[in-house]
Amino acid sequence: MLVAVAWTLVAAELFLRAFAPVPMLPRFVEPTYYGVRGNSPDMQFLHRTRDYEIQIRINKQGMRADREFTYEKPPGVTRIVVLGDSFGLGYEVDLQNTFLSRMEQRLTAAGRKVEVINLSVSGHGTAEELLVLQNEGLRYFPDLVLLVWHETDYQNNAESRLFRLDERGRLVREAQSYLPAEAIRAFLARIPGYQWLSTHSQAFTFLREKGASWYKIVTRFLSGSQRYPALDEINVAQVEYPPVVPEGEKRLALALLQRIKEESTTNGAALLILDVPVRISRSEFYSSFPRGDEGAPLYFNVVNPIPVFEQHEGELLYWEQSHGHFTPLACRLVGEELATAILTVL
Amino acid sequence: MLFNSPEFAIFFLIIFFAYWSLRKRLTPQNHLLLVASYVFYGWWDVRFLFLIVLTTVIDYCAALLIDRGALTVRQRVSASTFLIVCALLFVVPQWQALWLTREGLAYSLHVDWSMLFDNPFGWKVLGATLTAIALGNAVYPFVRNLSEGALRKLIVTASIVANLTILGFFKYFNFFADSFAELYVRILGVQPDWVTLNIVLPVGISFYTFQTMSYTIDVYRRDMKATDRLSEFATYLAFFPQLVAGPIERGAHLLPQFQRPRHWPSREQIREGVWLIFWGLFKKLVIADNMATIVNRSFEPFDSLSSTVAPTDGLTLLVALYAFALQIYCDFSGYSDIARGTGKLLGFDIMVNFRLPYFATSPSSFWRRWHISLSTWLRDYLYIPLGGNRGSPWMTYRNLTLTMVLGGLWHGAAWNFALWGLYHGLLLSVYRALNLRTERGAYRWWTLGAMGLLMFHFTCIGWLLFRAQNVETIGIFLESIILHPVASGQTFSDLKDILFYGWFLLLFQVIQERTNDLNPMRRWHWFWRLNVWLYILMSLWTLSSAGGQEFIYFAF
Repeated sequence: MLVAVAWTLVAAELFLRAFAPVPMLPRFVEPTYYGVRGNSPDMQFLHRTRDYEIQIRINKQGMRADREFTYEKPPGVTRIVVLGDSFGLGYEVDLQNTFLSRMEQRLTAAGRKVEVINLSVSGHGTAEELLVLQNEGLRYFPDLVLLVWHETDYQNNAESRLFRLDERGRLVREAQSYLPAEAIRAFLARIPGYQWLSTHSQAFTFLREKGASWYKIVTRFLSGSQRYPALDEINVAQVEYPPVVPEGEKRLALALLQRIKEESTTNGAALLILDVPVRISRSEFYSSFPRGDEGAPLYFNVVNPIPVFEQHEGELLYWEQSHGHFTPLACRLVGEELATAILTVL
Repeated sequence: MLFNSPEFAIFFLIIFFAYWSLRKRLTPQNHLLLVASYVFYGWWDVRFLFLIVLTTVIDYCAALLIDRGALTVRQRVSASTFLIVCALLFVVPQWQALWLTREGLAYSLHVDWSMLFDNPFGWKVLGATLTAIALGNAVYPFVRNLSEGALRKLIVTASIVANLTILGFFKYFNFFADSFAELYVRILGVQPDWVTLNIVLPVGISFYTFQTMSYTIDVYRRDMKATDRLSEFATYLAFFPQLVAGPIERGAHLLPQFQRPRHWPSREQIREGVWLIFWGLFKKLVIADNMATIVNRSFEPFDSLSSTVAPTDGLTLLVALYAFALQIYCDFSGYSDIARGTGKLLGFDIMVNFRLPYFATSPSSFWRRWHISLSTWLRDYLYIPLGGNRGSPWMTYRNLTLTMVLGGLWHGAAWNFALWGLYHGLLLSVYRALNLRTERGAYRWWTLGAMGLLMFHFTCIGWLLFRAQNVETIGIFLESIILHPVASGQTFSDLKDILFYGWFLLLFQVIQERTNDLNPMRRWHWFWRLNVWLYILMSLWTLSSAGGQEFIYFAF
């Protein structure tokens, strides 16, 4: 029996390596004092797929950076605090190729002395980003807050239950913390060699990711509501782009963005939002940024790289064999767009 | 409900445990299977259940009349009641008026009472049902007084006509209506809107209609006795594992299995049943659905007539035909395997429908291996009654061709199916005329290998006729393959994909063919079995094509 179990694990590993390699993008997060996930500090690990192998280094402050930062802002420096998810963190590209590095390089070339404080954490939504800004970001005295908006923010905001809208539409704090699957994560982290397995074993990564996706499916099912048969599902023959976002999720996202803007401007920082385009194909993209009655894109300062992406129609802008983050080419384009926007804002 | 859906997995688990908890109680077990089968079928469209019920009642009564010359009062009452209750359940209510909502794990049922019975069509069907029952009972005394021979002939003819009328209306009405409309427009220049009813094809109608016809004809031929119990016959006809895409079972094989106690399957039966289910899922999800990508990409420009130029890399289209050969085989035989596997877990033996067809070395060998339940049906109820091979050679060729053309048309009213049937009929005739017998021992292995390869390519040409949406596509494929047999990067890429997804199937089938055993694993050492299982499960987990697709044969 033991032999069979051991061989099963070995054979699963061999199968995955031979027939269906799994993108190995381990994520190491831990609870912060303000109740949401933060990057585990002082770590180095690899991200590997069939297309690349890159190193991720998290500094002692939990940021993806190759140095440490003081809270006090050095004189003459423009500080940019970045709030975001895995796109903001620069998944699937080397540090020097992330769009933030590209942006910094372009700003430096334009004669600006900037420091980019990247507080992005993979999996974060706007609600968590607001807490990061309030508890950590503002301590760095930013001149600019750059928020990386992604389509998944809608669902993340709703699921986290960190904030809700009251009956008068005001944003109110609800849950004090949001640490999904923390017990499982803590348990796994205690397994000897967990980090090694996460970065070297295809089978381990595969099982962990399947487990995480089942966990999400079950928790979403248990907390969600649905109509059977779903009339919209029956009547809609194929998926439409962009997908329809529930009105409640859209209003919550707008309220969170509004609060982030207030927090930023009150503390002397401008807010710039990067609207990460969602890819349909190599030539089709759509914006997921909320467009309410308030004319959100006009009210917020949003950088939308879709026009520049469309100029590179057919080129590889998103990795297609892994988790679909930006390629170095897309990072360069986005970095340039951001730098141009920042030079007009600051 | 698709076999490859989570709904079916949950459904089957519930049925499996409920079914075996009723062990040793045959009637409740059959009733449970009947309800389960109707739920399974009603998942697509509840209204079409009434068609199955109608067919059930017609052939239940027909077979009893043929066998016994009379129906008891109880049999007439139960058949009439069953029909009325099912009409009231399946066609009178508007099922869209009922819906469930879920908040977390709390479900609530909602009913729109104003809509529920606001269904004029349903009430008309109920009215027609009551009228038919009244007429049937009024005519019954006269029919019963006929001589035995006349009664038997009249009833078997009436049953066949009724079944073929239902099948013909739902399956062929659109085709003839469209053809008529086209002719009407050409002659009169006006679009007639009254002929285009747009009839929706009920899933599996061809399969269960042929199954019920074989039962009545077998009773007529005195090959089997008619069953007394309506619930047994209803369950036989609607048995969910093989209801919508076969195998087309025979009454003499399946019906007695509903009449005798079923025992908890042995360990070996469970093992084989589970294996067949996963093997079928592997064929469908890993091979067929991934082949669909190659096939659809290759055929789509010609299907839509957006391109009418023969590509210069003809070998790419040849590889697309290989992919379709693999897709249709894995799709259809995968379904049959799952059907057999689920049947086994419920204690039933469902017939083998495929026996390694691409190892055939001649057309007759192919038809002994491909869709066996249909080819034997056509042999027993069409080819032999037409005279089979008992007449002159030309009569035999005529019978072969006619049988195959009708077999092609069984798939649907389209000229390409007729053409496909005609092609296979001619192929059978030519092999017969040339006396090319390829049974074991007749030729050396390398000759047989060459003949197998040739037969596979003949089969692929047949698949081109089967898959093409228009005549132009057939011409373009043949022109490109024959006149431009050139490979491109796409050819090698597609070939690589075929080998990537299909290599294990090929290897396993070589072993099956060599050992002449469809389940060679039972004799293997546990370590090899474990490895096969690991490959199948890991493939299902990682290589399944995204987005479950319907089985091709659901369209028939």
